[in-house]
Amino acid sequence: METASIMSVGFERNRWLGARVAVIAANVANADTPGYKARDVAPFGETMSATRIEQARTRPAHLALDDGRGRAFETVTRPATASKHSGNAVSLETEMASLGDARSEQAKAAGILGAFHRMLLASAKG
Amino acid sequence: MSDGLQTAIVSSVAALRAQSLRLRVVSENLANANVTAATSSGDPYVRKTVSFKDEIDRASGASIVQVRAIGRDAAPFRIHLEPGHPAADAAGHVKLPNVNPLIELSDMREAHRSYEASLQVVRQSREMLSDLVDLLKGR
Repeated sequence: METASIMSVGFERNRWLGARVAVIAANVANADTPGYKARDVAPFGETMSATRIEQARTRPAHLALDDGRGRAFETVTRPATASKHSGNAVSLETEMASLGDARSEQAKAAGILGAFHRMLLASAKG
Repeated sequence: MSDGLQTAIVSSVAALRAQSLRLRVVSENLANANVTAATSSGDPYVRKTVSFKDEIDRASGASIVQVRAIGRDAAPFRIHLEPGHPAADAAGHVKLPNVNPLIELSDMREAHRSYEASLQVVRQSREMLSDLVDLLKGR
């Protein structure tokens, strides 16, 4: 696999993890909001394999859809655990576990990106 | 790339603000737990309640929690027999606030727990951001 493609997968992975942490933060923030249901982002594998429909561009002036970079990840409602009397279904324990998970996954992704970066630098220096 | 992490911090800061307001209301309730009316016709201090709602911040797209309203508890007042009190009625009954310290203290614990959780999210997001910045360091 090309190094550039590995970099791009690593980039997407980090972006996905960032989006996941944002959703977890929203869940934690709304741990006491009546009627709030915990959310999560769609799994990374799904977002990577999802097909995108693109419009044909026959002239350069035609508007291009975004190239996939920077698009928002889909969010799904998390299967409800025991909900409180107020209709709130956020379990702080689950959220904290997911947060720790995202943290270590991101450390891994950043480590791999760093290793490839060092490889690139080593080959460039000769 | 760090957009999601910054959004997470915005959400968490809104949550910290909301929870500290809740703590303020708890302390107001506790401080006024024994405030009676000045005369027999008046009502004593009424317990305040806080409710939250979810909002989307248009600038950052972050989900920020806001205080929906500071309401008043409709629970009945505590009645205490104290004929010498200025606020006592003809039968010698004094209306005391509908504040239950036990409920206030458990509410305080819950606010503290939620506050701590949001603080932890801020801490983790910052660590993750600095991990990404560390990638720039050529080692």
